[in-house]
Amino acid sequence: MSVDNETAASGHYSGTSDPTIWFRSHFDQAAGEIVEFFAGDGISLKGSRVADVGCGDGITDLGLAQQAEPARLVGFDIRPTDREHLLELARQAGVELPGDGLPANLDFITSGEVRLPAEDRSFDYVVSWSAFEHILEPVPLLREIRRILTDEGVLFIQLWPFYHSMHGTHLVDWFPEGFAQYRHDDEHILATMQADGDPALVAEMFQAYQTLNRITADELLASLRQAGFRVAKLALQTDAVHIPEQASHLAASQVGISGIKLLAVKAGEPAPPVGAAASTPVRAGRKGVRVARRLLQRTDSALARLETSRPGGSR
Amino acid sequence: MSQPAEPAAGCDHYSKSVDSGVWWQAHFDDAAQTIIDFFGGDGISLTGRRVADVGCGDGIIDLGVMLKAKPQQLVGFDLLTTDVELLTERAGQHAGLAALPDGLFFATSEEVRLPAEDASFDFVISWSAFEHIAEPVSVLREVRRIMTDDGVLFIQLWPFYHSRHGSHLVDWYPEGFVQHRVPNAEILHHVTAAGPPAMASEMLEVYRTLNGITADELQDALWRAGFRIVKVALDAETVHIPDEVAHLPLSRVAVSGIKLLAIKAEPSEGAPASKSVLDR
Repeated sequence: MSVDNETAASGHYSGTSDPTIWFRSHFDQAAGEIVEFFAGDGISLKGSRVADVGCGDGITDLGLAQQAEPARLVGFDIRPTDREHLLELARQAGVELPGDGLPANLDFITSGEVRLPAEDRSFDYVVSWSAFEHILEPVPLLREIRRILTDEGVLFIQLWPFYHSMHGTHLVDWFPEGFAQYRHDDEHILATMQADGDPALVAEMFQAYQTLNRITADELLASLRQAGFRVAKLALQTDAVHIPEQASHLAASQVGISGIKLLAVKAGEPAPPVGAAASTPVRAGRKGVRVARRLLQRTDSALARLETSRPGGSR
Repeated sequence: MSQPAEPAAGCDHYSKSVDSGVWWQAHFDDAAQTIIDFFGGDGISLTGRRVADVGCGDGIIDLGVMLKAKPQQLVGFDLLTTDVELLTERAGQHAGLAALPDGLFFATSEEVRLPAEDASFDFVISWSAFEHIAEPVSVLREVRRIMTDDGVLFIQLWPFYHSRHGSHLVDWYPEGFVQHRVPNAEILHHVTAAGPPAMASEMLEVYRTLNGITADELQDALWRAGFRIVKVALDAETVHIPDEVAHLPLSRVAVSGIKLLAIKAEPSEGAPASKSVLDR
């Protein structure tokens, strides 16, 4: 399938893109952006204890462990991170690893849906990259992050793409023109994917689409406030976008904001949600999973994958 | 967390205190070219067409668009009569022009009334005006009236009220967010004391009369007036958020500006997803 220039930058979350591009866009780019965003506020992760929530395949963590030299970096995900696969990806990408193994300061731990197996205040920094659009219960998880963070700790969250933005489906490989979530119904989306794609990948990506929580930038802020965080710095990602008629009912602030990077600190007291931003972010949730099951049962591909309920990685 | 003081870079184009050459370039070159390019990105050329500018101010942008894009006709509308002599003088000083080009006109409008025939313009542009307009929906209806049925409206707005420099008072408060941090009486005192008097009173009046519109409310106003946004680009800079602003929705604090193209649609009761309450 063809991907034009406009969507070329979306390669970093495209499940079908060249594995080397995928590796580099996380090992170099994502890790570098995290380091830089902290550094802009005079913060170094060197020698600190860092947790990554929703670490997925761990590539970003490997990059972070090398670039930022934390004392300890733990990647948490509800799906176990495959160390051997990570090592293999690093070798393929030509990354030099001392002793041909993962760095000693890097660890991966499987978490529960809203439970991080870690001591209170045991991390100086928590990072999260492209995970919070998948998390079914953002507020409880953020409370859990607050628990494991020291009182002076800082939370970094990156989220891209927001559901209502052009490529919010995560299905750019099949719908490079964007806004498939408003142009097509689910059956058409699934059929389009099945017509061109590895069945296992199609099943995984369709389920990921179905279970997106559809959180907006303002809802992420409201969730952070509810969990007792205050946003201290933020950068929104905004791209010029053409709005198809089917999406013209959406707020400009939702269509026009495709991503976010932020730093948050612990607030004194968890605050009540504010005004318009207070709505519950989770819209797809369990219903989405059910719909995904129903639709996929019509196919004979990779049904087993559906039973590993998840979203949480960086895909 | 440390909060490094960031210079108010990029604010020059609305700071009245800057060197007149900087002001000239920001409008004659940068703003005019931005408008032309935003249309151009959609394959639209203004050359040979009829263009209206709503809220044209000192007319520098209009002169820039006239010379760069060569529309057949460009009419700048503003509530305050544009000082054509001053514009001519500046054109001579900065661009070596002896006279304003043919086809460039300025007309004084009323608050919600544009003195122009129905469907008499192919394109309407507006630059940094809609944050000042007391009745956006009424003005947009008037814009719709003077535009042809296949016309296109370009709006740029910067800065939105809730964003860092939304007060328009960057000269006095380079750290920003003064509108959320400092009581009005104190702002009045500080700006007046810092002078110069004419500029202080002008900018205080500007600050006092800002409509506080948000990106979503602008969209809602467009919708009510019978427009549909077809292309949108939001401006968002990395921003540190002081305590006093932490209660505001992120999108308001961090979205500092907008550029958009809109076309005619059936008027409706506002975009369903947007919040239509002007909360100032």
